[in-house]
Amino acid sequence: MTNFFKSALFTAVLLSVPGSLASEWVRAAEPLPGDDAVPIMKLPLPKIETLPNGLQIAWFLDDRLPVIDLALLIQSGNRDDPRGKSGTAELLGSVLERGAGGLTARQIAKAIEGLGASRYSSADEDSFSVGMHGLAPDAPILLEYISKIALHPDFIPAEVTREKLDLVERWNHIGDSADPLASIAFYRKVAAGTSYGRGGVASLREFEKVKREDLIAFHKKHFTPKNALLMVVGRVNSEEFKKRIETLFGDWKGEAPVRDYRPYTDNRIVPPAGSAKAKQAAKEILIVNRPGLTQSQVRLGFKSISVRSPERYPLTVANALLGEYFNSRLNAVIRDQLGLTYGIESGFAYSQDLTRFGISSATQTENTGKVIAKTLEILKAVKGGDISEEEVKLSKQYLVGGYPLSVSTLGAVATRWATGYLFKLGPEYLNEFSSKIGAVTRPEVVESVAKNFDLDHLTIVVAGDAEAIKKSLKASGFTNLREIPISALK
Amino acid sequence: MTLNHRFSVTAGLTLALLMTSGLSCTTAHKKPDSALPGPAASATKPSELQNLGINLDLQKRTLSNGLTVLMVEDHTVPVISYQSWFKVGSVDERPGITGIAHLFEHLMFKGTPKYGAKEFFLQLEARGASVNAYTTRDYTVYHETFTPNLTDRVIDMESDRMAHLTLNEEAFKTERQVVFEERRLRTDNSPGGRVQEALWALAYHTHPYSWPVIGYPEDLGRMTVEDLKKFFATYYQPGNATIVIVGDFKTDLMFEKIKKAYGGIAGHKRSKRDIPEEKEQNEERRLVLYDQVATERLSLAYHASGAENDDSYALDVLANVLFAGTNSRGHQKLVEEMQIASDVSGVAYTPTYPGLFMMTATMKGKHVATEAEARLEALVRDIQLKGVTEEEIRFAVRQLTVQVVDSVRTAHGLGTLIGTVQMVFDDPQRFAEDLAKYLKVTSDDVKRVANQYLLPNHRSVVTLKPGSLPGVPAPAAKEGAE
Repeated sequence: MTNFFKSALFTAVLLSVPGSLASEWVRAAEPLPGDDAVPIMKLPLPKIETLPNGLQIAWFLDDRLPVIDLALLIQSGNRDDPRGKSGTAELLGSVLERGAGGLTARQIAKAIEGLGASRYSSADEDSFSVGMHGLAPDAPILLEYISKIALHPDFIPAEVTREKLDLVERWNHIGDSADPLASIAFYRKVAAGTSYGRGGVASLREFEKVKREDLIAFHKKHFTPKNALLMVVGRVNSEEFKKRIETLFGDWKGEAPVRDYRPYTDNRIVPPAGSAKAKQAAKEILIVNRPGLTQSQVRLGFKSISVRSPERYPLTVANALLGEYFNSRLNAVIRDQLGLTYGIESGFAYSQDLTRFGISSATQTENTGKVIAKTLEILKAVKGGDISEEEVKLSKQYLVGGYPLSVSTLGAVATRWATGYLFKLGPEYLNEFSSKIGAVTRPEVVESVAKNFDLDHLTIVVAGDAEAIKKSLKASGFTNLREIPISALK
Repeated sequence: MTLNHRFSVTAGLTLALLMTSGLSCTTAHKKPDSALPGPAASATKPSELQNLGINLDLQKRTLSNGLTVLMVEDHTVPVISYQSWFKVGSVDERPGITGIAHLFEHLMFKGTPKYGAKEFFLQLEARGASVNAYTTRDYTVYHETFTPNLTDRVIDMESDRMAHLTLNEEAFKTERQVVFEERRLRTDNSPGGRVQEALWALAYHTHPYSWPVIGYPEDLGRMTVEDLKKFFATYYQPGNATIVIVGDFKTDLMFEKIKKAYGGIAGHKRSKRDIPEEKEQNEERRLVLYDQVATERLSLAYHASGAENDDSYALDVLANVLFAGTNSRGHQKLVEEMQIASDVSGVAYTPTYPGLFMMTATMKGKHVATEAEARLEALVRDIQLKGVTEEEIRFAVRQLTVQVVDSVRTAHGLGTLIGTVQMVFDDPQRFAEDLAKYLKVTSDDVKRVANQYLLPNHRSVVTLKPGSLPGVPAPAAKEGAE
């Protein structure tokens, strides 16, 4: 199902060529007219209305295509899970459409799928979204189903039990391949000690404690009009549709929730602070053992600055030159020059109060040590100021030139806008990206990298066949290694 | 790399939706520029499109060297999708050189005497353009999406690499290593990838659909630069290519640029593909694989028609009735009612040559794949006896309609549909014809194709079972702390 708000807007992940020194490999193409121009972006901003009960409506209207996207965005996510009961929001996402407004799960599915429409209901770190996508003439019906699912779930006991078992079943598949193992372990280690430390499901043991009553309580506390935004994107008669919204959502009551965030550390991944193992673990390479694989998944990264920091722009340029596009330095060296991987990419993943910088790749197990060593060499060079004017220029051109393409559909504009809304980036966020990037200078990039690339607290995680990985890592000089089984992630 | 494409049906559905919405995709009709010397020029037939209420102006023109150019001018947003389609895929390979078509998807970015190895990305991607490529069993596509200021550079670079690609030992060896990594990622270390490769190899014994698009490592390992040069000369030439351009440009001016850039490249009409036919399968084929996975997986395939056979429309409807959405028969029976599988899916893959009707299921807990197989067979038998309901057909049509509108929301999406229809049918105007055929599918048609194609003797079954590799005991660590 399409999830309108699930695209990782800030998670720049694309592929990227040779020598670790910037001056050795990067050269700008001969200039073309307009290379240095920064286009003035005037993207359509939504009309915002607020109902008396506090529900905000964002209108992105466009008649060009006969389609509609509707989404109710709740500004609470799995970070809001009750203490000791992680997975509450995750489970709620599954349960909502398993019976609502007196309709069974199948009746809901049949009604929506019969229109050719798609639906989603899921939690993210900071938000929860219930949405529909379909043909424009069906917008009123789709809205009605959003109101049923989001406002009037029936929490049928048998369905709650069933969805809970299904979620456990899905978790049991995380070891089928190495990719999810590396990603989960990396997330938990980087997010340790923050209010995001639990992630979607911290452990199956915690998840087992989640009861139907917890879902009802979460829903009552967080699904309130003052904590919600309804997005209407596409072709619709706004006057008539507004009336429909008032009918379906006007009586919805409730205040914005009071937050109770606490930091959490998964001690299976990160030893308790102050323990004998804690100091050693800070510089270790964590290996998730999945025997039998011939390729290992590699993740490296660290916590970074807030999404609301002005330094986000020079760091965005830094990320582009390092690992966002095909010709970025990591890919240029490790894939294109050395042939060690199919791709290596980097990006920032933003949450409201946590930013993670990550590098991701996969390589033949025997080359794991080489890939990590080369990546570290590049990271250290960049942190030490080895960034050329040409690299900065190319990265800025790439970001500014690609921006119009990334917002060429109304849905893309609306999704970006919603992220800015959620992260409180201000009304001009959408249209200032190009000019802000265009204004970034090389000294700013060098300074922000030197200051914010926290290589002293680098997290390195590898998933795959531990014995072969250890052999490769040791051959490259890495000795502080710790192995965990897949079960440590469940 | 894309392995699965829908074409005829989806192309038709585009028009269905546009008809009901009155949407104008592009500008009004224009007559072909008869003053253009040399190349043939033709436009979509106004009468056909007007009957559908569509203002889609698809211009088809051909250069004297055989290059086909398809253009849709659309000034909605300042973006152009430029796609170079070559009618060459893994179907054109022979045992011993499997993977060569896909290898070109990589080598085409390794430069020419004029534009060196990194130039494609320095010249285009570094200016914000999206640059990529994919290979299928039937064709290979190189595509760029960009703002109009990059038009001349894109045309120059694409025409240059079609004529002057550098093929040397160094680039070949590095890129072959990259392809090995790609294979480890997508196949060797992916349970789903392993199963898919095994299933195609089981279903086809003589037809080239038998081997994977990415090829076998031993073939890639013994391939030589001479093999590459021969392959390039045969397939990467104007007579085997179509350029599809959609977006913000002036058609006549664009065509003049194309003619200037590509007109001097020698080309010839490609001879008809000589593909060995697959003999009719007369016995069920089975294979069991093992891997360290949580539960069993079932993957099976029946031989089906190709795109040229009108049965493909009814097969699409059948696949939707069985597998599209949680209200589908397959999901309702295996996931909801019996709760033996955590997911079930299926698709009618009907490419240029006869394809496969495929079904997959991931089992739940200790349930075994044979349970899912039995239930799926029962579902098929029911349709073979009773057909499907009118409501199910209506739902299926509606679902596919929305999918297609989504795919044509962008210049790249529309270009992809046009290119696919051109590659498969050699006629981009199959849009309208496809629509009519699709809307005519009846319950009896679905029943007939189910009886004709979904036969046990036409079936290949791959079961993936959890292996028995020793695990590492979990440590008794304290779980967490706040």
